[in-house]
Amino acid sequence: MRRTALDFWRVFWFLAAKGMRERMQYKASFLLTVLFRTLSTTMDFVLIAVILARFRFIDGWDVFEVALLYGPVTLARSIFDAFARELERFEHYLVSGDYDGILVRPWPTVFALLARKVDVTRIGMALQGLVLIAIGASQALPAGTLSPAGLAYLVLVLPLLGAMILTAISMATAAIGFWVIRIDDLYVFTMYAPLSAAVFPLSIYPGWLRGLLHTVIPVAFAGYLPVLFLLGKGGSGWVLVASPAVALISLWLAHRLWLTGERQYHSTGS
Amino acid sequence: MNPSMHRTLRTYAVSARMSIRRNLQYRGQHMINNFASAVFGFMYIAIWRAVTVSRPPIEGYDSQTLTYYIALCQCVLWITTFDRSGVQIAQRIRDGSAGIDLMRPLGLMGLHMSQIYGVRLYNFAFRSLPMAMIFGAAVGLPLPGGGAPRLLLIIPAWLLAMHVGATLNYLIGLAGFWTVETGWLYLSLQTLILMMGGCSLPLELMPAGMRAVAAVLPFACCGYYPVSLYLGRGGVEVLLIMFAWAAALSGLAAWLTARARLRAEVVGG
Repeated sequence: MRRTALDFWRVFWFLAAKGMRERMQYKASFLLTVLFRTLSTTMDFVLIAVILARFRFIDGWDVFEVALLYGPVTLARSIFDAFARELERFEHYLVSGDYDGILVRPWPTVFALLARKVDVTRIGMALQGLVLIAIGASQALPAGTLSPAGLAYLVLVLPLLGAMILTAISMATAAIGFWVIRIDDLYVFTMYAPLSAAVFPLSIYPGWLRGLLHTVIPVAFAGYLPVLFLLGKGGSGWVLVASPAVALISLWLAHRLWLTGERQYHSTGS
Repeated sequence: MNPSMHRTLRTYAVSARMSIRRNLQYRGQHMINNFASAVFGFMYIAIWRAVTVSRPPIEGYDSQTLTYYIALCQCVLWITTFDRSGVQIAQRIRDGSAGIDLMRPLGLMGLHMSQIYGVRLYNFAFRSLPMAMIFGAAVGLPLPGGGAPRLLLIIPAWLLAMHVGATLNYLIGLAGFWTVETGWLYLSLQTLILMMGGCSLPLELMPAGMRAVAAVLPFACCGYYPVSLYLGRGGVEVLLIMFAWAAALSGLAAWLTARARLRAEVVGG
C-alpha cells in the first residue's frame, strides 16, 4: 500500500501527541524543565552580552549583530531538539536492543524513531531565539544594515534550514553508531561543540576549526554565512541559495549513511 | 580509629575503586570526548583572543593569561562539574533501586560520595590530564610556577574543588527524594558553575553586581579559585574560603541525607 505525506503527518502527530501527554503528566516537573532550560540558554547569551559590554566588539560584530546570529541558531536548535532529539539518544537504542522495536514498525525507521518523542519543553528556547532576533533587529532595521526581507529570512527560513542541517549532522552521527555502538561522546564533537561555536562569528576561530564548520559539520550555513551577507558584512547573495542546497544535500547524505549503516545492525538479542 | 570505622572506610574505598573500574571500560570513548572538550576550550580561547587582541591587560589579564585561564578551566571542570552521578542517584530513587541503597549497612551519603569520588578521580587521570597535555601542546599551557609553597596551595585547592563539586552533585541526587525530575537541576548547576563559577570569564572581568553575587556563592570553588591559584593569583585566604564552602556544603548534605531517609518514598521497583 502506498502511503501519502498526509498519512505520515497523521501518524507522526498521533504519536507525538501521546508523547506530549506523557510529558505533561508531571506538570510541575514539566514547567521547571521549561523554565530552567530557557534560563540556561539565556545565561549563555548573557555571558556574551557581558563580554561585549566590556569589550564592545568581537571581530567587528557588536552585541546586536551577535544577537542576530545567536537568535536563528537558537531557534534552529529548539526545532531540532523538539522534533529530532531522539537521534541523540540513539546509543541507548543500540545498546539496549530497543532498535528491534523500531525495525518491525511498518514505517521508515528514521520516521518511527523521531515520532517517539516530540519535546515541547523546547518552547522557551524558541521564544528566546525570537526575542534575540527582535533585539538585534531593533538596531539593525533602523540603521538600515538589515532589510525587512532579510529579517523575514532570519525568522522564517534560516531556523528551518538550521534545523535540517542539525538533523543531518545528528542522523549521520547516529548512523555511525551502527558500526561503533557507543556514540554519545562523538556527539560532543559533531553537535554540541559546533553548535556552541556557531553562535559566534566564525572568523574568530583558527583555520582548521573554520574549515570543519564550513564543510564536514556545515553549521556555517545555519547562521554565520547567511547573517554575514544579510548584515552587509561580506559574502555573496549566493549563500542564500547555497544554504538550502547544503541543508538538503546534508540530509540526503546522512540518510544514505543511515540506510547503509542499518544493514550492519546486530541486535543485542534477548 | 576503631575497627568498625576502618571497615566502613575500606568499603567506601572499594566502592570508589569499582566506580573507577566501571569508567575504565569506556576510556576509548572518553579520549574522543577529550578532543571534543578541547574544541570547546579552543572556541572560548578564540573568543577571548578576538576581544582582547591588541589591548592592554585588564585587571591583570592579558590575552595569554586568559588563554591559560580558559584552558585550565576546561581541565578543572572535569573534576568538579561534568559528571551526571547526581542524576543517576535520582534515577535510582525513581526506579526503586534506592530501596536497596537504604538497606545497606553503609551511610547513603558515604556510599554515593565514594562513587562520585571514583568518577572524579578517574576524570582527573583520563580527562583533565590528557586535556592539559592537549592544551600544553597547542597553547603552551605551563606547569604551575612558585615552587613547593605554591604547590601546597594548589593541590589542596584542587582537592577541595573536587569535593565541593562532588557534594553539589550529590545534593542534586538527594533532590530526587523531593522531586521527580532532576535533569533541570543538573543543567542549572552546570550553567551556574560555568557562569558564576568564573569558568567562562574570571570574576574580575564580571560587572560589579554580578561579581558581588558570584563572590558569595560556592560555584567559584569549582573553577575560578583553583585556576586562579594555579596561575599564581591569590593566596591562603582563597584556600580558607574553599574550605569553608566544603565544610558548609558537607554539613548541608549530611543534614539533608538524614531528612531524606525519613522521607523515603520509593516509586516503582
